[in-house]
Amino acid sequence: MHWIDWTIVGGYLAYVVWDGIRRSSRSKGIEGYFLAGRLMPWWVVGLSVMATQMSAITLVGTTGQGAEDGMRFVQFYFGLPLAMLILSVTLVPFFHRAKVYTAYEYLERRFDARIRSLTSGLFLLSRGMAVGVVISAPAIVLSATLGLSFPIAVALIGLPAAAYTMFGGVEAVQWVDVKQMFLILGGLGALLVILLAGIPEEVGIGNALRLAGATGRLESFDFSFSLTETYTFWSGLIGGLFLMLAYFGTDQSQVQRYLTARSVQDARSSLFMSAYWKIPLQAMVLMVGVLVFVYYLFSAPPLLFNRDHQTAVETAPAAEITAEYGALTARYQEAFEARRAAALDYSRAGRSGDRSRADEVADRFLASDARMRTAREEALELARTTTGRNPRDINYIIPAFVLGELPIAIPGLFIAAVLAAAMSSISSELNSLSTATIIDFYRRHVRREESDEHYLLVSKVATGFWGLFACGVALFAVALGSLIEVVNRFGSFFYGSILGVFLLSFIPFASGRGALFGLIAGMGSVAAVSVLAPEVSFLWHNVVGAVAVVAVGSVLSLDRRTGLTPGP
Amino acid sequence: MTATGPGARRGTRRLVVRVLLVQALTLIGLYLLQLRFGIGAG
Repeated sequence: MHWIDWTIVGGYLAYVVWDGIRRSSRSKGIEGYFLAGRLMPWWVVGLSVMATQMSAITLVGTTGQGAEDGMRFVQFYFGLPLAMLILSVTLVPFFHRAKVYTAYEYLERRFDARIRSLTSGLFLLSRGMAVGVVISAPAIVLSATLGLSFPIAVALIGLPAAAYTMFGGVEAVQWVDVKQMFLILGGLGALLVILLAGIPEEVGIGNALRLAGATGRLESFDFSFSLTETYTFWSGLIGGLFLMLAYFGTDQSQVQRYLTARSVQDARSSLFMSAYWKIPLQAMVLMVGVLVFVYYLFSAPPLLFNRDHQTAVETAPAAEITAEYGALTARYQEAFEARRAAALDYSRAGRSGDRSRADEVADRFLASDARMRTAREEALELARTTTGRNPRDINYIIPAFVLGELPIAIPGLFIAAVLAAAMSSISSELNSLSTATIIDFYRRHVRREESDEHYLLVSKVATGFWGLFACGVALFAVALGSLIEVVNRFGSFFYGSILGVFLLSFIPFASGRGALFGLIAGMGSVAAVSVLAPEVSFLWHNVVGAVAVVAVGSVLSLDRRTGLTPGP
Repeated sequence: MTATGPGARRGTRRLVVRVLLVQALTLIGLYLLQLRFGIGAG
């Protein structure tokens, strides 16, 4: 990267740390530190909710998915607006009126202390691990792309976020989130404009979209019903609804955002912001990827985007590997030239209105595209066997494009946006981990009657601890699966079941005993489905967990109500 | 007007209708994009 780009990145890092820490003086007492005195404006909360959900994985992995696979990932979010509407009339008013610090605190009031400790403990376990992945995912990509060592990349992402979260508390987290959200939107907007302006004049936007569409990249809807497919309309709408209900309704990292709002109405409005904008925003992120694919129709793409893996196969000690890679590169190059010629022919035929010529050229275009895909798949397999690691090349497409093809200052802006996306998620998660630790465990079970100053001090220590823990997990998380799905997969194991407990709380006769055994049954059901039917998409795990908890919990509560079994 | 009064309920209903409308328009837009430029588009 050019020194100007490094200056932009350095300036960004210095600004967020300064901006976060300067707010530390306002965090008086733990209500200020964890809930900003419940005085945050709705739009700040709304942007913070969106920034928390949009991690660096979205910016790097989802755009790459758009380039490789097209728009179909957008279906994953189809349940989100519905989830926001349901939450705004159910859990949000309950949490607000109960004046709780954590979602799990509400469960103690409704059921008992065991349920609170168990759900809060599960949150600490799953979110504590997940935040490590949220750090490691962009750290892997940035270290390979910028030539940094992996631990330095982890420190660059994790430590500044931990510092301003530790000193500034939730107010710093949310105000910095707002600025980070604008930086992310600015970076994405700049990419979109550059890519649209870069479409060759003789092709035009219409023909570019037709070419992308011919390869299936504009298929946003798949109406088939399949339990094994994650990206279908029905998986997104039903499975996605349960995932989003669980994430926004029971995950402390999100609940804490809207607990800081001034009123129930403000909390609702902040959630409606995501309901309005999430799908259009996600469509824009994927469209950036589709347009990068269009860019590489006319400009030769590398066979492997991950430079480390490319170097590994090019310099492998075994001569047959380098020879095979050389042959694959030649095949790829030849297919690219044929595809580019066909794409230009197609555009000319489209402009002259010659339909039969366009159809004939489209077949040629798709045939050469298929040849390129085959050569690339073989190269990825070669990289996998040579290095012994999954190349996860999809996550390197956009960074390689931005750093290799765009003019000075844009790479700096993009890397700052990736760091902003990562930090906005990390800071909210560290803040919520600290809240659950102190409120649900320390203040509840260890020291019940201490001064506010004491709790404020241990809260800051807890935030610092979780920051270091997350960086530690990040250093060992390299071996985990696909960057995009791994966080959701991890959460899905517990998410649905925890959602089930909250749903159970609305059933008037549900008891603490029913909730406890229902929760265990829910997690057992998800574990059984994962082991016995691993082909079932993780999106459906949330449905299984929630339904099992409500069913088992209701029956056990009913049993107690009729007096057949003594309650706890 | 209180947070739970009829005025607030009307306001929430209006917001709900607006959210559903925006989502419907977004999905229709994506579907038209697929029909116009996707596989087998005429």
